[in-house]
Amino acid sequence: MAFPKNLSPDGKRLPDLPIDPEQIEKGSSLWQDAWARLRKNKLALFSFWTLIVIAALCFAGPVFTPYSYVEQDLERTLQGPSWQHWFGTDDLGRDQLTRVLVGGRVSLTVGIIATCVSLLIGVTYGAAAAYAGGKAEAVMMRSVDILYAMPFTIFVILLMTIFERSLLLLFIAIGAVEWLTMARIVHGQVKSLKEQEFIEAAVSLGYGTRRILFRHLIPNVLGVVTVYATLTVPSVMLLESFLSFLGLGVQPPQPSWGSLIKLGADNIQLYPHLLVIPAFFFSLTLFCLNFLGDGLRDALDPKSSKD
Amino acid sequence: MFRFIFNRILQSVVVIFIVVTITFFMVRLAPGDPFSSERRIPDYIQQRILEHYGLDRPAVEQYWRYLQGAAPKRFRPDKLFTEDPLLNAFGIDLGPSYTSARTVNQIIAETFPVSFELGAWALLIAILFGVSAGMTASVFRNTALDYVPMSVAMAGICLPTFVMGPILALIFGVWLGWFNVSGWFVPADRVLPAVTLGLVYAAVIARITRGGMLEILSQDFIRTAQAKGVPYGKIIFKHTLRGGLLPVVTYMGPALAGVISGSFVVETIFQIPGLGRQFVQSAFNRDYFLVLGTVSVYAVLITLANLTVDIVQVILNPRLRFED
Repeated sequence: MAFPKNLSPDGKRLPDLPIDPEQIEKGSSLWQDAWARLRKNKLALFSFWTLIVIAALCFAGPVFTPYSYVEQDLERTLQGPSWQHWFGTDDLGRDQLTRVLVGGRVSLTVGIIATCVSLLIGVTYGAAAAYAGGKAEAVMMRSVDILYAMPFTIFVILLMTIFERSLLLLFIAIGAVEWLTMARIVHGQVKSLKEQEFIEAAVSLGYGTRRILFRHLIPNVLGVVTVYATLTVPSVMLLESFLSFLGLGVQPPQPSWGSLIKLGADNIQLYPHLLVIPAFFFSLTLFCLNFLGDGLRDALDPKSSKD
Repeated sequence: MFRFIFNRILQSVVVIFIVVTITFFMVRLAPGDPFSSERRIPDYIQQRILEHYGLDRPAVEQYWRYLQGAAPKRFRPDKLFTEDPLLNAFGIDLGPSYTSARTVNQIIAETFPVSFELGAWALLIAILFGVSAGMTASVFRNTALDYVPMSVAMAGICLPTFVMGPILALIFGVWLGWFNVSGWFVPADRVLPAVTLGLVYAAVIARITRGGMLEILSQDFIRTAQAKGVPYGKIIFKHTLRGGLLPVVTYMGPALAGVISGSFVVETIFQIPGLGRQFVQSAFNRDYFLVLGTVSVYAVLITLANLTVDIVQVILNPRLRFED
């Protein structure tokens, strides 16, 4: 039963309060709160904009450079930076600036897509395990534990050497490694959410499992998932470049930051710029992604501590 | 406690078995065989080669024969320091290598000590620098002594091994000329690879140590100790360190796995004749038995490390003893 306006529970009339409708606090969503908190974090914000600039350069930049990333000029190999070739040329006379940008495009694309793959598997698996409960949950999470103990980098290397190397295989291999952490995190989150009243309410209203899972549980773990997705992107990029460095990832003539760094590492004695420039872009991107992830964690999940 | 250890040992054996099985069928069922990449040879010779190595048999039979060879049989400690300790002391036969005249046992006996030394130095560096930096940062929280090491640690985490290695080689090898850029001959050759491999883990350990220490420092029993007038140094080293280092102990398992995969890159960069480089090359060459042998060694190492970590954890944290 609602009380009539301006009456206290014992029926006395209360004085009119000078409430300005403008001043009534508007409810703010999780994402608005998070954005407000993120905006105060200078380092995270700086990382965010740097990432946007790097991504824009990598995706749009190669259109504006006068060279293509496969165009060889065997008379001008291994040149230092000049006005014609800002970052110099590589061992086949290809424009290093274009290759660094295209390599970044490849690395970023792999990072984002493989993260999405791991996200899809991890969230579904973790949520399903937690929601199922009982024996099924125990078996599912125990197998994640066992998989965790596997030397996965080794399997990925084997996969990449044994089968026809392709970008698709790379996505599958990396996604297969990275979903484990995501499954664990989502499992923990859903497990604690499951006990709360609003889920009980949904169950008593007779909603089906799928609806509860996708409408009630998963939206509530989105915050945490966003944070870990942001932190997964750099680790995926790291794995991709690690493979490309060993010659097992992205295949030539397609460049990636990993293979560019490999070329630089092979030529450090005479042509250090081949190493320094891609290494700089790669590290800067990893830096920014990690700082942004940390910032997002503080913004979206203020309860968890930083370390 | 003993049941716990027994369970964990059992689980380790299962993990090793699964790893070997997956690896075997992955390399076996993949298209092509070690000899198909060579230039064309007459079919009857090809057939003879396959027969010689038993590769014409069904995969399951090959698998069974491999397991029989690879299973440890009798343990003879007196033969531990022979040229082929795997075969002589444990009765393990990992088969022939297709790309070299030596057996897989011999190759592992030659390359493993090199990688082991590299990994041991790297982990030592990681623990030494990581723990001391993390402790300093937690004791002097929110001062320059906290921010500076933690920023450096963040940089260390972001700079992967294959960036750090060439850059260190460029600065200290090419420009300053203090060390050789590659090779594994004189003791000084250990410095750059070990530092490259250890720094990332030093950075992670520093962050974990700091977090662990801060967590313990904020607890009531520390305040009680302070109120009782326990000297600050004693609070840090005696009361806090034991609990604060627990997360670091937990991290040692993943750290070892990371050092192993890092060794693939570091041994390639610095041209070190170790097991890591051997593994990558054997995978490239489809040298099945060599791949299987190296993977088995890694699987045993990683599970051993995880097992040790679990047991040390129980010793350090008595509360875990009551769980099974």
